Amino acid sequence: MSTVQRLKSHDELFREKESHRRAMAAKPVEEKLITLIKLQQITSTAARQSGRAFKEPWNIALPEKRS
Amino acid sequence: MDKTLTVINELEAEGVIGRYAIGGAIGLIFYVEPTATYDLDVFCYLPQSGLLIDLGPLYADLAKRGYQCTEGEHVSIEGIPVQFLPPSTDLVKEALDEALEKEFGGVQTRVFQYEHLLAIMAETNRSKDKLRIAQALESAQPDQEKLNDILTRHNLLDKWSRITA
Repeated sequence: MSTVQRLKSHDELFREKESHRRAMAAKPVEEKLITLIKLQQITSTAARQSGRAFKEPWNIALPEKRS
Repeated sequence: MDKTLTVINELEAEGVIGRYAIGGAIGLIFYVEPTATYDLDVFCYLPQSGLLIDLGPLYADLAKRGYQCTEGEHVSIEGIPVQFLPPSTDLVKEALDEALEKEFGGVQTRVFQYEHLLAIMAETNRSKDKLRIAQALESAQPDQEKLNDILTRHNLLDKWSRITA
């Protein structure tokens, strides 16, 4: 697979981000909760490593993805 | 979160709390891309005498079920910090009364409508609310007519225009 690609314009990048956000929004809420917990883990780890106050990510069983 | 919602449904069914609905950033997740948040905001009617609301009976009931208050006014229920919030403004009351039935992991729950969530963020107007409004609007379009109606009735149109300018 080629790793070379055309440099994208800001407009293209923003359009792609927006389209990614819409795709994320359309996912089942159970799947979004998995993303939320990943975000909590990233945020907590970053805060802990930089010595800032942090909250623990939710300690719950992850929901099954809805088909 | 399904286990947490099951406990909250029991609280409502047994009359410990009145009608409830999920608001805040978790409510928003039902409509838009998720953002990092740690609290489950549960808006609910509580027994009230005059202007005072007593959360004591609720906390006592939760303690009997094995759920203790953690930091601030949060109660950790099945691994999730939950905050029980009585509706503090007419807008939040309306959002609670008109919340929609939703399902999570096979468990029934109620969630504020998207347009109410947006209007409440405009009403509270903190930095993170403005950020969340911008991000939400990029991922899902509200029913513009419904949103305008809510913003107009609660005198939030100017605030909304400034936030989204």
